[in-house]
Amino acid sequence: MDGPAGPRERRFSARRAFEAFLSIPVRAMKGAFKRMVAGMPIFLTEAQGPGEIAFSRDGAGHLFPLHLTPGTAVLVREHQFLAATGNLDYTFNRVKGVSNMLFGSTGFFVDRFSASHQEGVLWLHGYGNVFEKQLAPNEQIDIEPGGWVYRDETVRMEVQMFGLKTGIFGGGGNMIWNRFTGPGRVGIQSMYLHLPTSE
Amino acid sequence: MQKPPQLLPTKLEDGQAPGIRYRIDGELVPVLHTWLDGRARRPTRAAL
Repeated sequence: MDGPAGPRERRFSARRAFEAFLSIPVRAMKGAFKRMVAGMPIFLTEAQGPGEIAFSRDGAGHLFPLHLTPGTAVLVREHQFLAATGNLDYTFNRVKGVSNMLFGSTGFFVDRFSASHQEGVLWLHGYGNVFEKQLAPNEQIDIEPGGWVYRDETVRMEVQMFGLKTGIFGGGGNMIWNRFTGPGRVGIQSMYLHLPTSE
Repeated sequence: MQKPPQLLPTKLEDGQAPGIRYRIDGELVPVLHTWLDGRARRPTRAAL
């Protein structure tokens, strides 16, 4: 299913920020150029209290928090990030090659959020509803590439590719899965929505 | 037998973390409300 593409989809709306002392500066992200080329968000807004601020996203889905305790990290698929407390550390990686097999493009971003000294909160958005699978050590689950939202850093991800050689799909290409191996959590969204990453 | 994936809560009334309280409301297009107490050393960030 194709959805709204481009920066509009990834925009958040700050609907209310109505206490006088709330300041909301905007700053560019590190690596902004790479993200801009790939059609990803390149600016972050920062809200400094005291005050109230609300966020939403112009897409039907599910918002949920992930609380990160010191020393933990999660990896988040591109387009799923909504907001985070400022005490979390943030980096991102470009996963090359994998999405060659996913969507006909040449790479996608995985955001990494980690807590170093203090608990922090990360809020993510998934399409449809979001389910969490807790994987035991060496337990595995295969998920369609557009279906996962986040995973603990302890969870390993590999691409599984199956050639379609027989039946009505014979010669029709490959079937791709992401295989996740525990221990740790994997978040899964029930609605498959691929936001094209222009390259 | 493996346990199936579990649906995460769709609403949250009283979330808390250092420097912030929050609530998640709504079904189709949910909204995250946050209250910042101003004591956090680093601000809350959101994708623009």
